Amino acid sequence: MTMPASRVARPSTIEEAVRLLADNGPEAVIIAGGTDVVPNLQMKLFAPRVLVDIKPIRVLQGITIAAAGALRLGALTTLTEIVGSPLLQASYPVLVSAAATIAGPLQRNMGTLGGNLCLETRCLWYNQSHFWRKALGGCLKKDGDVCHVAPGGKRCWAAWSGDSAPALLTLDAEVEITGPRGRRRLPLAQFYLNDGMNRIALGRDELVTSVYLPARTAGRRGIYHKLRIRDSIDYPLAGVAVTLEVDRSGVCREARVAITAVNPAPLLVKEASEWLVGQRYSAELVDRVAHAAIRTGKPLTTSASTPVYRREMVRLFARRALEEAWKNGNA
Amino acid sequence: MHVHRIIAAHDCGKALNPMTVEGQIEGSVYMGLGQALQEEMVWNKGRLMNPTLLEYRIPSTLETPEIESIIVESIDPEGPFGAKEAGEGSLAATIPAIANAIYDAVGVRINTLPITPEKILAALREKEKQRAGNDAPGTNGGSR
Ligand SMILES: Cc1cc2nc3c(=O)[nH]c(=O)nc-3n(C[C@H](O)[C@H](O)[C@H](O)COP(=O)(O)OP(=O)(O)OC[C@H]3O[C@@H](n4cnc5c(N)ncnc54)[C@H](O)[C@@H]3O)c2cc1C
Repeated sequence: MTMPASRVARPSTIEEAVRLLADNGPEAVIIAGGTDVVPNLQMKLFAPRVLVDIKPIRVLQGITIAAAGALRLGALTTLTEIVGSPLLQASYPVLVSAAATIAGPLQRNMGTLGGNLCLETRCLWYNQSHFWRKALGGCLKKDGDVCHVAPGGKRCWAAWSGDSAPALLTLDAEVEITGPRGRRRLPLAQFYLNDGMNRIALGRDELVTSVYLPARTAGRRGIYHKLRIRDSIDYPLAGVAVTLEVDRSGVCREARVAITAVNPAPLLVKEASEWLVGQRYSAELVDRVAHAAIRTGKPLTTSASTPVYRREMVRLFARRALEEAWKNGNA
Repeated sequence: MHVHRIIAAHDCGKALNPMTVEGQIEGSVYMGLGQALQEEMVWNKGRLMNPTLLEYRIPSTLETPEIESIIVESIDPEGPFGAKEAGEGSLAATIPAIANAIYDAVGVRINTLPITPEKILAALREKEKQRAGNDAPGTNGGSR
């Protein structure tokens, strides 16, 4: 599978990158680590005229302390850096736990946080070679007008298949986006649109420049559980991230549960904080939240595993992660 | 589901090159392991749904257990220098060995490949249902 011919532009400043994006509109695609873009290019899922390689932009790198004790992660921070960061391990363990499950070591060395948050949605009918898709006549997301997952529907169900986003949702993270009109900051939950075709709230002329972790969620207990067939390489078939703040007497003060790979967006389970805050651990309560997690997830046949099993695992992982976080701290 | 260790003995007649024979045994066990637990071609109306190695999942190093190979030499009078074969012999035995290990561990028999956690869960539920049915008053039990 060859790559379509495109020009590679290598801006060294954010402004230059924004200009390239604005000038080329839909003809430009951002490339960071390339671990998602390159396979998609090889499958001819898009054929941009210009690849805007943002790796030379130095200010997008690294983990730094920002205003109000927040932690700023540059969009180019690699997943390997995240997994190996003592600061993140100590303060935001759920993110480390999730990042460590992404792909395999090779992709984590190349793959960036920005790329992971802007990943294309995935579907069994979409992530196929050009030849395969042509034989089928395309799908709603690409070159066709039929959804093979939910025929008759006009909505694309391609699954959000990233692992770091659910963890960041449980940390109340914000994304910083830069475009021709300057910078804006958005709660991560508002960045995802839950639409397989139009996955993120990002303009054609914008890029993600940073992720901010607020000081108030530092130190929260957290765990990420992921369903996959192999312990490496595989994208999530389902994933659950949990963070908890539990006081000395064992009462829950803050709680977040987020799920991934079972909807076109990573989603917070709304009931979790509502039901858990102010409560002590009980198996029954945790079970109730786990059920709410299932109701939030709508897995369809976007992958080879069955939706029934993925739903089961969402419930199991939610229950298990809450139990572990509550009883053992950061397991 | 994790396979912790596989011990494979193979009668190759005469090991002309013992290290190669061991390599063949390990390779065969690995292939059998993949077929037993993960590898599957998923079809939909004649279309192969997982034509790449991302979705057709061969075991990674993390799923591959320690393999202990035992060479059995029986000296075949018909074969060259007493040798028979060291091809894929150990592959065939690996699959039922894993299926039996699962039966030994959780008491359910899965008769289709690959043996996924999903199938085991379904079989366990089915077994539970049958047991509940058999224990219920007024029924006179199942076959097992
Ligand atoms: C075999 C394999 C297995 C994988 N398994 C997993 C997995 O288990 N979990 C998982 O989450 N991911 C997985 N991935 C996907 C990928 O490796 C990671 O998501 C990685 O973090 C992507 O980062 P990148 O820098 O390589 O992104 P790229 O490929 O460079 O970009 C990804 C997307 O984001 C856009 N983009 C990149 N940076 C920015 C930015 N700063 N602003 C705006 N848009 C941007 C690109 O235009 C593109 O659409 C896997 C990939 C492969 C090849």
